[in-house]
Amino acid sequence: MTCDEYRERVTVHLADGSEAPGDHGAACPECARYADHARAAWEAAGAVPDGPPPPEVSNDLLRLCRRPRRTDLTLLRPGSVAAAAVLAVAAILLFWPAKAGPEGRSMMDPDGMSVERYELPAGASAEAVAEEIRRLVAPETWGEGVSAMEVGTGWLRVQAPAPVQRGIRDFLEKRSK
Amino acid sequence: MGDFDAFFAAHARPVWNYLRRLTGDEERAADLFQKSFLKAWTHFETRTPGSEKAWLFTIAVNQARDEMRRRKRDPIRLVSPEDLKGRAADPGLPPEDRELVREVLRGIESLPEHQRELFLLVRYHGFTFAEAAAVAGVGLSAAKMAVARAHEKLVRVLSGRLSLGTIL
Repeated sequence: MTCDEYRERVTVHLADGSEAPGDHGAACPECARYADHARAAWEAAGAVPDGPPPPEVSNDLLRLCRRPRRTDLTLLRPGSVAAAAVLAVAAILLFWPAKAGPEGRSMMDPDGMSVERYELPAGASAEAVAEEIRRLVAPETWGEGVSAMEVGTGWLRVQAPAPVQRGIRDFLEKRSK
Repeated sequence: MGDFDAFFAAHARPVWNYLRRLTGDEERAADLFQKSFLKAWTHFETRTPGSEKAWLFTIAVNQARDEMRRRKRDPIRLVSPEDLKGRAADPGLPPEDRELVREVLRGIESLPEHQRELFLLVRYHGFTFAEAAAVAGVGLSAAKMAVARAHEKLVRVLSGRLSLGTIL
């Protein structure tokens, strides 16, 4: 057995109690000393304290997760007409022009979602920027009915959870540099 | 309590601590924590009963990888032991232990990303090597080697503090 193999076995043994490291340490003082250090370091790593997530982080998330899932909507519909009606109403509520707030301000829903309008630099293609955002910022949320985007000339309007809005702000800030 | 609420209650704390140690940054951890649970919520019906923990950690690992790829330019910032102490279950950490925590975190911070992922899963979250390998998407022997290399680096970082003499 090589020193590397022995040292790997020491770790495996400390982690799950399996694979006794063997007697290489009896013939190799350096590895025997390593085994002592390895045990002490493994135990010392346990000194790093544990803690709960900050309440505001959990609460924001749980509020968001109390919304019906996209898949749950299927339970509401007796047929495709009902589903279309639900989507149409949602679209009207989401993108009704009167809902646009003052520039740079978000319209917070009580459940943690917000609608924000982002002005793009002159000359930027809103469609291209929207495509980049869908690909790079929380891509899993765009096709799942969680986040939605409206594209205008020189602006985007986004309905999304707070972490996604933060991601979009970061993305646009970096993109403009 | 709904299914998802129970799921969240069972896994929020370990996932939070995993992401905090993995990123070394509370703000990033909070972002990844929310994204991970949001994804879990979106796909909640596809989970396999009995494998929820591994499923959720796989999501968290992938979210963290995506985020780290995007932020490759930013250096990882270490969580200060004072921050950790503030959130610790046992607030009475003596100064020498605080120093030890600082050294351990420094050691974890110095690990390459794939070693850090696997070391944290095995050392802090009770994953077997086979489970950790599946979560990280690597083979069993690669997982064992990564954890062993991570452990070896930690041994070197801590060897001065452990009063056992230096090792080669």
